[in-house]
Amino acid sequence: MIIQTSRFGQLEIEDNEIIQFPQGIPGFPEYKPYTLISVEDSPFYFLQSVEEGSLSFVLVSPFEFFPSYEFELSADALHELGHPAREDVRVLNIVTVKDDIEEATVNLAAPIVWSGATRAGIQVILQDASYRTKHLLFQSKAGAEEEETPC
Amino acid sequence: MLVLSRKKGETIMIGNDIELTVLEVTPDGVKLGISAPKEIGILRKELFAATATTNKDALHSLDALQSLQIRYKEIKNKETRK
Repeated sequence: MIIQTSRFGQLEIEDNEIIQFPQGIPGFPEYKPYTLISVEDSPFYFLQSVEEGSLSFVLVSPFEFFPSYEFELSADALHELGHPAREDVRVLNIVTVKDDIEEATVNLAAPIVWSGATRAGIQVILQDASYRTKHLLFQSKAGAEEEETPC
Repeated sequence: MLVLSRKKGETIMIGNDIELTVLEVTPDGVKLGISAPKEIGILRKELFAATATTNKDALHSLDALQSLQIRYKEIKNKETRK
């Protein structure tokens, strides 16, 4: 099928590239089918609503930036996802960029989780307080860089 | 909205398998006990609202995708040079 996107114009996607979010995504409950497109040579993806061209998000693979990132999926989340096997579970997090790229943040408190087997997805809202909705994306890496350049 | 009065220790049923019990009432809050099937999600609404706000804030970040890629490559290159 052909979908309209604000950013990339028309895109052709296969039915098996659609991820269904039965509850939508908080803030946009009425939009349920999305497609996920990976950005070459990077840990970034974009999640595009199949129905609404202007509804899209930048996602990032969290482990590239936060190697120790972890959480447990609750019983209701597993139920929504159709009880996927561990290796079918995929995790990505939504990135927010305003004016300054150095200030880009990532929402670790509410990961996008989907099953590669059932292609069902949800945005899981983690209830423990260890992760926030706005972690600086480049902070850890930029900090390491500065330490490396004393000469 | 349906409004019901309940005393401490009293319960409300929602459908057949969700129960809300008033455990404690204090001047500044109410403690509720909830029993529900485990496939039912239970969440403080402010967490949901914060997620919705962050999501709305994240729209249009796609314009910065190229800058994100460039910044990521810069960092990667520095790392591999070490």
